[in-house]
Amino acid sequence: MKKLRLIFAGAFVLGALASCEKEEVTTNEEEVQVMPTTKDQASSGYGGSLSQFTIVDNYLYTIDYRTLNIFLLDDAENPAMTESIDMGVGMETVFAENGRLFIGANDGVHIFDISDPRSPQEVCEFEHVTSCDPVVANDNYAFATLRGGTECGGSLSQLDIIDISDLDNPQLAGEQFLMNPYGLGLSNVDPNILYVCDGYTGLKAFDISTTNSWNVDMVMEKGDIDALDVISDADNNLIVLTRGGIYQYDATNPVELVEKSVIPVQ
Amino acid sequence: MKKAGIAFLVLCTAGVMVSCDKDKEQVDGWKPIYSTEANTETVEMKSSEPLVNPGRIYVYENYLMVNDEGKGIHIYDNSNQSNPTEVSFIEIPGNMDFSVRNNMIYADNITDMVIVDITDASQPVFKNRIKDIFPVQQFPDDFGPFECVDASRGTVIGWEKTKLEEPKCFR
Repeated sequence: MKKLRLIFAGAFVLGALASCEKEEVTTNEEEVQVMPTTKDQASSGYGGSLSQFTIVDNYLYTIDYRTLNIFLLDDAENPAMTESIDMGVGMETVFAENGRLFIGANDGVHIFDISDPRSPQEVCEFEHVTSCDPVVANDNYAFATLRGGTECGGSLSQLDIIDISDLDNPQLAGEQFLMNPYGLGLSNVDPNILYVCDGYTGLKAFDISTTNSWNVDMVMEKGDIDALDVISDADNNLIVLTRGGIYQYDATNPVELVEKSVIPVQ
Repeated sequence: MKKAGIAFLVLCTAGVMVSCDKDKEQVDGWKPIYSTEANTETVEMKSSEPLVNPGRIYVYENYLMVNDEGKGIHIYDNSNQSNPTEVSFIEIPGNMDFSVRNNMIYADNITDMVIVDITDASQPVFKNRIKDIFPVQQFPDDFGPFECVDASRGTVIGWEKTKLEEPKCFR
């Protein structure tokens, strides 16, 4: 294992060297340097945690019940598949954060490094019981909901808090009992607030600054909606997908939501 | 006459037994929704459609976009979050997910990817189709019993809840 890592480190240094050399070659052509600026100007959107498609820079990642596909979008009308990885396991969701892909699969959370965006490398897997499990993450923790019941194969319904500060050794750092969890999302307003859609029991908010204790504190429970997924948007706007429609709330105070509108299911 | 009476009785009993069995064997499960080759590739632009079964939410610039499972994508102008208004609906058979970059929607259309330009969100323009890149899922998303897929009936574009009798497929 150590040897392997050494080889990896060696390869990495070589890789870095290689790209350094490349840069030197291109320094003469100043126009090439403009490239990153055009990349920054490109705008992509963002979805909720149940997404199976996600775009990072100029690459689209899609998952299905079998494969992780990577498409280069430089030619916007003609996406080019650069790789298709057979995962051998059912995948439910994909979430991108900080140069990593977090894939919620039936057997656990798979974390891929996308520093080479064309060719994701699996760096670790956090295994758990068979279930449905969207996942979101910040730099140090991944948060996955496990929905049990006959629909999902397992029997547990809970929130797993996984310490990912050492990717070689992800550790379960906490658990929270839930009833019927689906999507989840970190608050844009307060990074210590995690929203969890707990199905027919509603939308819940947890204070994740208390991750040093095994359980996290629930700081809000909104039981009047059947919540499935959530996006904490700019402008303190919180968008919640429910079985009854799409709700939008003013989340200036992230635990005192004020309803702004509903697009009802008809 | 007597014989006929007995035969009638037997038939009745058999009938009762069968219907009893039926009640016993019915379980909650899923059955495939089929579509024929002729219409699975038709991507149509509409001004609006009722929201039926929202599956995904997505934010792109001032737009809130919502996938209606198996049907397509609603685009709402969300510049006023207190009053989102639908500006268009892109009908894409079998659609479950999508993502947007530089005014281009990348969406699944069963086994294909379709690319739709929303530079003018109220007038989306179909741009391209990349064929046969996604596998057809031969089972529902949820675990449990389901009606086995019969490929001769067409392509599976979705699943609906139903009562099943003696289901032979399980997930």
